[in-house]
Amino acid sequence: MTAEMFLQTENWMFTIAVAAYLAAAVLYFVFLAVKKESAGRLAGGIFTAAFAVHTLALVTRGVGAGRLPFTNQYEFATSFAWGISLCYLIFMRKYRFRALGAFVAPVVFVIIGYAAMQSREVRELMPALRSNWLAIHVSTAIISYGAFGVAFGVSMVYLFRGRMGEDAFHQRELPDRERLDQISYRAVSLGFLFLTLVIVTGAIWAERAWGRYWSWDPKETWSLVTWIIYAMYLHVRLNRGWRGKKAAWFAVIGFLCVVFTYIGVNTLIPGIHSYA
Amino acid sequence: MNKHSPFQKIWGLFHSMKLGIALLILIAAACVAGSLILQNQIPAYYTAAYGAGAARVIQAIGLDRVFGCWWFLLLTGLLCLNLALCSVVRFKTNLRRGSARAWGPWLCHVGMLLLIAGFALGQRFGLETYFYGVPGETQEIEGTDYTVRIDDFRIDLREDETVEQYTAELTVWNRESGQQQSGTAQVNAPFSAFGLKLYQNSTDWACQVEVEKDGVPEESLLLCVGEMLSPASMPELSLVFAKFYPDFAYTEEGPVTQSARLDNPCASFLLYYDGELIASDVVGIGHEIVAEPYRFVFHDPQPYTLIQVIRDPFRWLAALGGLTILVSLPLCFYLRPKKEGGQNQKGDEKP
Repeated sequence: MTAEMFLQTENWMFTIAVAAYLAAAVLYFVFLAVKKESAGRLAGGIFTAAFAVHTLALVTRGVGAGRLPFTNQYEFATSFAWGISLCYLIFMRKYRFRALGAFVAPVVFVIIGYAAMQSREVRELMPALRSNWLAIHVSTAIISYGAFGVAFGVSMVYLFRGRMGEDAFHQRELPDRERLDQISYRAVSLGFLFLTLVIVTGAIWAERAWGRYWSWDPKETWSLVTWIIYAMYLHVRLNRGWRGKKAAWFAVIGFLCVVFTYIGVNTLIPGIHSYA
Repeated sequence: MNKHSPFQKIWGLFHSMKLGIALLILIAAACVAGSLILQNQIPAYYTAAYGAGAARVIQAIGLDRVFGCWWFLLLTGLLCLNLALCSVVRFKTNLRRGSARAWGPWLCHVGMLLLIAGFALGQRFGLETYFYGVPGETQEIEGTDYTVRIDDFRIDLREDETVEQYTAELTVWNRESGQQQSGTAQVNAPFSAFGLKLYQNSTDWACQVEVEKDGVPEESLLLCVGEMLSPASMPELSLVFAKFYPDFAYTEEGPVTQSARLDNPCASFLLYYDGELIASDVVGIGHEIVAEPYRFVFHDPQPYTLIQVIRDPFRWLAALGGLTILVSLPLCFYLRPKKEGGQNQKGDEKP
């Protein structure tokens, strides 16, 4: 197969993944709203299939482009969505918490939808991007952002938990608030560990490429803001009064910062990260 | 000492988590402002962008240079004090408890301190300077005993004419001892010599410019894009080399270069007399720019390289801080027992 054929294959697999994530998001909503078990099972199956196709799309993109698909807005957006899907599937299986998909699948769809609006052209890399540190930096960002996406979803479930009533369906499908709080904490701590790795590996790469490991570039600055918000989340949990709802709001605000760090900074604020 | 004495209260405040959180909120807010407002611009920029009143406020409180402003440094200093005191208090408690997992947050705080100290000391005692030139040129590195010569500079292009790599061959020597080292600086691969790191930072074009007065050659010098020359006999007259187009074309979007090849090389220039702009245009290489009694001719275009020189004697300290934080986090998150995130079960506030 030629590179062109790989990229064409990636193109249709990406489209299938977008459609499947949308279908899963709708079915998850039906599952929660109508309390239909079969809709939940179908949503879970479609989401898993979407993730598999999405993974293949990323692999074929990488083969077609001859490098890891991490270097422009489209590639990072689709990888970002993939990271959230991966973390969701891990958390969903670990905690048997399928209903989380009702809040995570729409986020995945919005981010992959953003990717669909970007140029998919494969370009040769500028010299600064030809670094092994790029692969490590972006890979850790995908896991970090994915875990924060899951923490956002769990926190949204927490915030809506009281309004959903307490029937047998909710008791079976939704963990209690204390458990939700703990799952959110698990996701945030994973995301925070990887965000620290993102910042450290980014600093090492910046030191080699631009001479300074920290130069208050807008992307660096917003990564620090995000790190500070999650650091505060972790600190205030030491005080029991800041668990639960307040902690959930922290996780929501933190994820909004993550999204701004990725999309807002690239589109609204000029800096050396304008390619990513 | 009495627990309610003013000293104890101040001590308690300075190592409290409350103060740490308040400082983090203020630092985060300052970072947001510093990223949304373009930093270190000239005053006219802020007036044009925000209006005269807002520009005055921005400049008065230092929002145009947040990260070097006294109040930002003060906030960072207070955070360091908070982290240091908190670490001292925690050290004693951790020793008493003898619990391995309690060392995670402690190490993280110490790592933060090392990182901030390494960064601050690097800023204070490090060196950052730039020089540019074409192959064969020699320059003294400002603030050091070293001189550097650009032995060669090349731009490797791919088939589609995008840049594969920029490569500068450099020789650095100590002006007193005469010791020298040669090496290559490429993007993502700096050249290290005598504790200095030399980075291939960027590139643009330079041309040889011939200056004639009344038909008699007066001088010939190398002019880089962005540079200005004034004839010795008429310093009021200035020629600015504004931009270089290797393959010039005029399109609806204005002047552009169609490729990186020297197919139709042209130079954009500005001509000033006594500070007033008297002409600006694009001229082909080898063609004359006339400003009687002077004639200027651009020729022999060649790329020049911009080299960044860094010396940061405290980079190791910042790296140690970063590594300490990375080691500490798994201890914080994965050495905890059943009740994750809740080591402080009674809800009391301890740093």
